[in-house]
Amino acid sequence: MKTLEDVVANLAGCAAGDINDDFTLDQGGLDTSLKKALLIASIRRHLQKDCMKAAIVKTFGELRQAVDEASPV
Amino acid sequence: MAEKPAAVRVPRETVNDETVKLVRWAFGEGARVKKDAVIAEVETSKSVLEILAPANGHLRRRAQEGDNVAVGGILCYITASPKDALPKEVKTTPIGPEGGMVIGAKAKKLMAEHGLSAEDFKGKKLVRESDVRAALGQGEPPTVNVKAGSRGKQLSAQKLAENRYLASDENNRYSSSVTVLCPTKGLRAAAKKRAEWGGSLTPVILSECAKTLREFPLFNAYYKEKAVWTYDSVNIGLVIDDGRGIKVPVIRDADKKDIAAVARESQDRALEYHEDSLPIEALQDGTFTVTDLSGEDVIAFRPVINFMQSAILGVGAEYASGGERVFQLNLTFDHRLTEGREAARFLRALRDKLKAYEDA
Repeated sequence: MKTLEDVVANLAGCAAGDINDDFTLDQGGLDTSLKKALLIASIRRHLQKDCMKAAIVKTFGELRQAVDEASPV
Repeated sequence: MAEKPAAVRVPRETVNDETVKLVRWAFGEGARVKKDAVIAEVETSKSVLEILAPANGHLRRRAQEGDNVAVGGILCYITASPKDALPKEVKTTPIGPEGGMVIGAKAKKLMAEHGLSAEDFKGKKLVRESDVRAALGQGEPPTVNVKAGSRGKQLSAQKLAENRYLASDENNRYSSSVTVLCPTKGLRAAAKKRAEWGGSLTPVILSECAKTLREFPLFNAYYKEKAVWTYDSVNIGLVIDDGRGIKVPVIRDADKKDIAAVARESQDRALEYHEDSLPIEALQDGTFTVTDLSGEDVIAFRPVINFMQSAILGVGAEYASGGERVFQLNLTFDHRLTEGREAARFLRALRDKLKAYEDA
């Protein structure tokens, strides 16, 4: 089972260990519309959460909170 | 009926790649097929192509489902009887008084890789590597009629194949384009309020474009043999290219889906593209295409119409104009089916739908 850190690290091209709550998504290149679409779809597929808010959060901490609050697929 | 074995090759004119993937055989080995019957499907980078039988006869497979076959390579033969002998893949005969053929070692290897046979070089006594490359569209760059101070570099086989693909359909030769400006303020505000759009304007543009196509069926159509053929469904292809090659996954019946459903589907297709797991079905049956270069900071462009379609919408990047933020909607359309005034009406109708979100 993938973690949210795994999902973000895979798309950002870094190690999961590099991800913490202060990690900004734009520093991982996740600020383009295509990358945001990939992030939302990856969360849906790997974490079974429907988290459209992933497109508007700025940091990993905010993303974690949004995913926690998101409805299951 | 095919009197001698007829080679069926991956078409050079309609393929956007160096190789294609053989997805499916429609008939078993040795089965009787009729001229123009669909005998196989091959997947290109842009779509799935149907391969038709060139003659009545029996199908003799030379590739397996799942194989990657070179453009110009032989997929199968059509023979008069199911047991007819087939040509050798690469024939060489010694040069002699009868005028035989010699094939160089490098040429022979290239021919085998691309499924070419000696038949393809009929009349030549000596086949060199350069002859094979020329036949594959990989010839040397031109050395004459070039400007002093310029250097030639051969285009990649993929680009050459793409050029053949573009030239294979005449719709772009007779195309024209129109552009309208669309304000983004209301759309951006609506996207912030509606998390289900996934923070992007693309799903709402796709969705509203699909609905507008219902009102303007000539842009959801294609030209063939002096007739307009309108599609029953509105299946919108969305161009994706993040450096792994262009793909155009299709959102079927986009006019009947709400924006959230379009958003989810386009996100899922993007992930499949990213993971190189796009299903074949996702690339089939597009009736209209949308290409969005806003992420590349491109304001205006003239996209090229896809095969068997009559129009394509290009979405540009936002910029400031007259004190407000706007973006361009660029429509290229087949002028044989309609004219600029109708294209402008289509774009204005789409823009008005998008502008309506300002008040929503």
